[in-house]
Amino acid sequence: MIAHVLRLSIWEWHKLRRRMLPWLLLAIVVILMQVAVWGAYAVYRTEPFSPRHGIGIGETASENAGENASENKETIFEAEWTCKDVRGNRIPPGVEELADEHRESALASVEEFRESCAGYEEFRTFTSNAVLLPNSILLGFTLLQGTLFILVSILGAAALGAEYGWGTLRTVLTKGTGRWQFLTAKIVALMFTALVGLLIASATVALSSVLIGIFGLESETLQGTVEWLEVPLKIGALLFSFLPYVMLALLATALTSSTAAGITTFVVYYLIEATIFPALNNFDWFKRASEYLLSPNATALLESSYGEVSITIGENGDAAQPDVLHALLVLGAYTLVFGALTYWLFQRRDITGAKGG
Amino acid sequence: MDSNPVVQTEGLTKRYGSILAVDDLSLTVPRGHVFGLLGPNGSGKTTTMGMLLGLVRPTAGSFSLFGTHTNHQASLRRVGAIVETPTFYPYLTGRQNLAYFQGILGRGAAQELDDLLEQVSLADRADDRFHTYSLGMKQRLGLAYALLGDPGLLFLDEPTNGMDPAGMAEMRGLIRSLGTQDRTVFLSSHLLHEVEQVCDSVVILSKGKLIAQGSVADLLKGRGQIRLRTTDNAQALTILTALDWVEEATLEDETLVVTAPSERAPELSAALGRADIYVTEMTSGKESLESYFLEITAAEEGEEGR
Repeated sequence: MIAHVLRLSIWEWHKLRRRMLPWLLLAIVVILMQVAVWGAYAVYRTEPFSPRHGIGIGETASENAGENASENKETIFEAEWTCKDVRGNRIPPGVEELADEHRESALASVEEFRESCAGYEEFRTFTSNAVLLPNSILLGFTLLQGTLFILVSILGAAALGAEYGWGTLRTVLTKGTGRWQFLTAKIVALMFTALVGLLIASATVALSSVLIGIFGLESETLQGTVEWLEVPLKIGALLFSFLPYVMLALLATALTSSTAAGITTFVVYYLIEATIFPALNNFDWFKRASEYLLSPNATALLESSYGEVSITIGENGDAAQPDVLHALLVLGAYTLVFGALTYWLFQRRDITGAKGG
Repeated sequence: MDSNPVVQTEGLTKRYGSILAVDDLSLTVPRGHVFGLLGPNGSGKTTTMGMLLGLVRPTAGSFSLFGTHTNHQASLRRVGAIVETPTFYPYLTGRQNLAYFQGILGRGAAQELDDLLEQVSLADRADDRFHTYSLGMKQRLGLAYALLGDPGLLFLDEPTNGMDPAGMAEMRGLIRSLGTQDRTVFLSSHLLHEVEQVCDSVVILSKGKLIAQGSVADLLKGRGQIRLRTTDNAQALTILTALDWVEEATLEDETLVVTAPSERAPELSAALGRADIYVTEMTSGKESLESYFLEITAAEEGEEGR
């Protein structure tokens, strides 16, 4: 039986890789991952988020006395510092020519600004590390987390929905394939495809990181601050997080026998979790409940393995982040429930001809 | 030839809400036959095939394939089928589609694909994508798919659908040659001439019910049409109508049309001769399966309407 399912899985993979859709989705992932790593590099180089500090020194001359007095301010010196200037110990031109009193005042102001640049310098160190390996791979996965859920669910819904649409489910099952065996093979092939996709995307990011490391950074090393072991852990966590979403997409597709309906159901659910639930977190009674939703647990599991590359995207109220074990159990429970319903439906329903969509 | 039935159903029933698609169907298909399943549109032919192929869950009743009521999945691995229009993966070529199904079946070699593609006359288009195929080519690929793994039982639902006359004749010959020795062909078609030519026995369904079953020869035995002209048609009509073995006699354009076993034509002549009525012209012929089918299904619908 295991050999039969394995054989079906291999052939499902052969079938899936010949379709245009997986390659299209992979192209989207690769492009977005590249945008993430090159974007981080651009931020590092051009420093668009660097705090700016303006200094203005002037003298005030009073005209008239009493209630009608008016003040005229005469600007003696104006300049703007950035953290880049501070880092390079650059003194803006003109400061040296100022009178002692004004020069000291300007330099004191720069020293104050130097302290406030400390936080930005940490961010800059983060971005320089983020473009090195393997940080860059984890950064890409972090930024694309939600997109990956959506894309893998589209692939899941399309993989099953197309069988209904083309009417090929009937052709497959009349060869004695077995329904649950076929569905299992499809899930195995989907997860394998997702794994291959993540590996290819990682490889392209790695290539970019090497190029940036050699030609774009003054850094002496190509090695980031994260251990390489975190990459397989992250990919494993991602694949585990994909499961309930894929099962939800498959359940909706099996229920409606349609790819479009399967994708729509998933996207609606995902958007509700992403938009309505964070708002509900403002209510105390909802905070506990949100610990049992899909997204917070998927996020908790994934962030647990991002380590220092962790980035919080969006607000989730002030809901407590579930711990890893809790996240694993909740995601596992969702997978089992959605999976059981999908298998039950798929086993029981009559298979008719092509639905055409 | 093995006398064990290869398909047997007992009280097979399928209900969709208030619609009874198949009603208490019990039939037996012997091994090594070409077996025809006939019926007008909506009579339950495809639903019956669907149940036997594990695509549709029966509401009641049971069936066996190759003598086993359990483990239909294993039985289905010895079955080949085309149900309605064959459906394959449109982005794969004909050969890739067959290779996929051969792969999931887990047996067969690349040579088998070449042989099958040759057998169904599709070798020259085998490497074109399925979505470029005409309906007739899809049927041919469907037949090649059905023959994968050398199955002992073939379900063919309207296999000549969309084929040109030459292709239909070729397919008929192929089906006839398939239903020999250990292989059984379960053929559903609305082309009764085709069924009559290739089937050993048939079942006729109407509104989900079995209304006739037997070999084509047995069903048509004793059913013929004799056309004759006499010296006194009006008197002859009265005499012939009175004969208990004459099913029906009518007068059409100076010709008497008598529904009766064609082998009893001489007795007709004798009966008229005894009344001094002489036959001036007589032809006799066997009834076709088509006219039998139309008659029996019309009668069934008439009964339902009453």
